Amino acid sequence: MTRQNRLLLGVAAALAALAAYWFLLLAPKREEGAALATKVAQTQASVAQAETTLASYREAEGSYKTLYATVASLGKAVPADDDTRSLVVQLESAAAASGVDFHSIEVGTAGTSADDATLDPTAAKLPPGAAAVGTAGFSAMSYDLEFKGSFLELSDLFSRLERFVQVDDDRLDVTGRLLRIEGLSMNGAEGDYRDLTATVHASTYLEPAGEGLTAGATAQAPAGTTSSTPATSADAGTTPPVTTATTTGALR
Amino acid sequence: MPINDDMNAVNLLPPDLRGALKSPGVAAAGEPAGGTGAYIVLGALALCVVALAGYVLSSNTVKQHESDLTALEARSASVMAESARLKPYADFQSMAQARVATVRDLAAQRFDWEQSFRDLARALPADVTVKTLGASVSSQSGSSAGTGSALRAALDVPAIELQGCTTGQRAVATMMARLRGVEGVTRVTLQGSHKPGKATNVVTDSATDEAPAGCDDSNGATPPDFTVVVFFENDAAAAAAPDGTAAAGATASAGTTPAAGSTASTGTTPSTTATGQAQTTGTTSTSTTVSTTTDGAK
Repeated sequence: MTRQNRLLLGVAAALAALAAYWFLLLAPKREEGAALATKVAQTQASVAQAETTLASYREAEGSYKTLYATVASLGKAVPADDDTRSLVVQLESAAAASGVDFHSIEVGTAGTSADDATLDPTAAKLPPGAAAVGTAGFSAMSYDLEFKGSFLELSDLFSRLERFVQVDDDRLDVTGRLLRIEGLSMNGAEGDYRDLTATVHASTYLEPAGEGLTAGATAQAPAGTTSSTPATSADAGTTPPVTTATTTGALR
Repeated sequence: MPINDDMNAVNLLPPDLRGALKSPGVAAAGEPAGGTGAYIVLGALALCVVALAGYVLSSNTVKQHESDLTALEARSASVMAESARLKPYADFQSMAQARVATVRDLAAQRFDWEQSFRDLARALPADVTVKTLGASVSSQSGSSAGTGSALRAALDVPAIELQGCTTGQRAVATMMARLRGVEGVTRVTLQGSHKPGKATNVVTDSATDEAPAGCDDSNGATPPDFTVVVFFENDAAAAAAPDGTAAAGATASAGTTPAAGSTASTGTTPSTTATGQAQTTGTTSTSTTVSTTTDGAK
């Protein structure tokens, strides 16, 4: 074997060793490293997103008591049940304040047809006379109310009826049931325009059927939580106040 | 002794002593290949070191990534567990915010009846007597004792229907112009204005079958009875929301809405409402149920 051949053979062996090293050792390691880097980046992104979500959850936890108070106060405007007795008290108070005679109240018959109840499975859970409204889960209950008084007194009453729940910018003041006057008519007694009879068709609203006033939440924690700090005996099992006609409050 | 050309020089020294006698310059020139081999070996060794370093670095990178991934997975599991624990709070927050938003929307979209009535009362001329007043937030909803005119159903916006009488047709036009100036009113539509005795829309009392005492006709004039509908088209949101509420009102007012174009019977049909409504007699499509009361809100 000549010297030149030996040299060529050595170069070839070196190249072969280099290729083997590259393809059998270094390249797989580099690929593994790249795959792991990609996976790490993806995991970092998902963890960052989860941490963002967790931050919002912690914020919700921090504001829970305020929200619970808001929801409980909102029960005055939109109770879980029809709570007609409370409504009657509120109407009578408003009528008396306006100098109007609260003559009659009758629960509306709309929205309770058998077809509706058959089509909507939640309709069976609604109180008698109530009908599902919109996508918020609320249900509406209509009433026909009759008042007697003068034109100005009745106008004042209409204002009072809708002042139970007032919106002032982002502030929501709740002092009673949320009433929406859908329609009304006024007829005067013969010979005396001061003695008008106003028939008001109004809607009230109820909490979503099945959720209840606070959807199973207590003052300590919402439903479904496993609180690590047990409730004290003083406030354990506190339930929100039942809707009454005399309570007042303001929500933000 | 001279050496012939046929003789060759013979080195008689032993082979291991021959190199020591050579000068360094002669030795280097005689073995050049031995130095190249050493460089090749050194180069190969350096290459091996570099290759080993590359492999070690790659392995370290992989191990670092594996370590990072393990830590991240542990962190992710911790975050997920914490999120699962706090999720009911977020759900409650969503529910509370949805309820507040819904109540706020419902409250904000109500129509201000009190303000509208106050404005109407101020705008109506003194010589106009309103016999009945009906109002509704949409064409489908309405009061149980509303007049339910066909014109009212034309626009699905809040509207107020007025039935009454005044001193003459010019006064009806004046009244309509005044009503058009009320804030929020976008349209004042006349359903009809008829003078009793000449027109077809005669109002009779369901109990006495007599024409009610309407506006003052002591001077021999026949005051016309009018029906106008005042629309508030800028408050269409009040009519649109919420779903289902409008339908609720439709049922309540269905019993008092006569079919357009119907030929009503004579005024002997008793009223069906407690307020003592009268039945109209006529052949036109404008016949509606009106109250027998003579004095309304002015």
